[in-house]
Amino acid sequence: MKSKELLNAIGEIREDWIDDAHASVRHYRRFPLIAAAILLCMTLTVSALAAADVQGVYEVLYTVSPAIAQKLKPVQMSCVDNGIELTVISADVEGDAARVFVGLRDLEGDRVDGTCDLYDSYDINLPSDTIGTCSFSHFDEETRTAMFLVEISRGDGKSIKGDKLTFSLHEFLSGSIEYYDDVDLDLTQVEMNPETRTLQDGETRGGSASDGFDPHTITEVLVQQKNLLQPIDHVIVTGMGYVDDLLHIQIHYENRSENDGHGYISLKDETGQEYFGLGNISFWDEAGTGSYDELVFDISPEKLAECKPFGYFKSADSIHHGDWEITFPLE
Amino acid sequence: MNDTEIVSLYWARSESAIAESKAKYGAYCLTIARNILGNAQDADEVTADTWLAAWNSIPPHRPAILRSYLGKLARNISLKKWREGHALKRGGGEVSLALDELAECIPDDSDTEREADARLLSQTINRFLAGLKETERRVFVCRYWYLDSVSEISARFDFSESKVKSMLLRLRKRLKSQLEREGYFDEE
Repeated sequence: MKSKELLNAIGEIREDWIDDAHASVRHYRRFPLIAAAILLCMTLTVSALAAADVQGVYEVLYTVSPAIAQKLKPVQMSCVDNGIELTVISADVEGDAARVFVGLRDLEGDRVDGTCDLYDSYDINLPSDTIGTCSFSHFDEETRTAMFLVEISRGDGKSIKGDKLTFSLHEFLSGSIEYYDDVDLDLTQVEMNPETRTLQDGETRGGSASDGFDPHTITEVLVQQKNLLQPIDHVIVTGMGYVDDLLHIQIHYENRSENDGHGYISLKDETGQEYFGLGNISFWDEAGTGSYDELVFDISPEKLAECKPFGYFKSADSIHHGDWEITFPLE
Repeated sequence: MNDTEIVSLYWARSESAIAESKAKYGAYCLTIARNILGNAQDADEVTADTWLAAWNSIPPHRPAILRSYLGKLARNISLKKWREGHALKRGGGEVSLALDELAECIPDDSDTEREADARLLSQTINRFLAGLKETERRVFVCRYWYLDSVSEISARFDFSESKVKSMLLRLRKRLKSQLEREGYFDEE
């Protein structure tokens, strides 16, 4: 394979994603300003994470981005809340962006693992809106420490000034499971006349669609039938049936705000042709904590009989809360 | 005029379809062509060819998203022109850079003469994109579909350039993993 084949193949991606990418302007995340630097947790200490512990990670970081790794300056300050230690290992400020290399370690149990996700809950106190991303992560098995390179920049493009910064974290996910494979879903169980109900005002969480299909036209959804398949924890396929000649597949994500469950199902025929849904509508479950995605496919029963389902799902096992905050000097 | 009406003009073989397309999506197609060719004169020629291609393909096509459909035509025509120009040692734009970056998704020891099935490869990339977060997908599409420069993407999303670069690096690694997982580099 050559890179030009990849470039050509990218040219044939879904048209709604092409449209969406250039229609989207300034879809950046805004963090609330920290009103006051109140230290809620913890005793700031010199980190127990020894320099030797992170040396191997630096080497990995060097291979990813030597320019960034070289600029990071040691900080080695920690705080503890909820039995979990957050360490700012090193940091760097350049123009409007700050890079903070942090480590997370559970001092009491095994809540920190190789699948940890900071869940967009980190921040740096800056006098403007900020934009953040976690561009690198690594888990050190020996010290059971998850490390992240977080980059946060000012939304107004101005330079970051001052002689110290405060980094804070409020929650993280762990125990994430990812599934990406054929799914053992029996398509002969698709109901031709399923029981449905009409979505009520305020029930809908949102939707997405391709090829000009408006997801908000999906107003009739399946009444939850039964647990047809549980590909991973917190994710259950709860219904399949034809509604107004369109195939509906319903997936339930338990306690979605706590475990960030997401995914999709597609259908593959014998030639390998893959069919994605026209779109999906999301709506809250009865408890108001989990939610359903109802995927809609324009595929006939005859064609469906030639297809096998394929799925991608991801969900975290638990979310951990705390008030971790470290103010550290900038060299 | 809305897109459905413009498409109807094509189907009715009304030449005003081209004028309406040009008025509504001329700048959009020109941006795509300029990104690829880096040359205003060539880009103008591409947009003219784009309207002709649209005229010749609608009907039988009835695009659901006219903007993306015309954009695809402009991209394909631009890349064809870029390849011709590149063979003559001219041309420019972001294509060379993007090709170098995408080469990172292909292992050094893979068989570069072995061609992938284009249709299956597109499906793999669709699956890869479906698994990304919304912002990641948008940034990837801006870079490798629109061939936007890193600085343009950084301005569009209000990200620093270093952030865009590291995001793209991470996405290329993930795409490489997916291609490996789906057997694109298995030995024959």
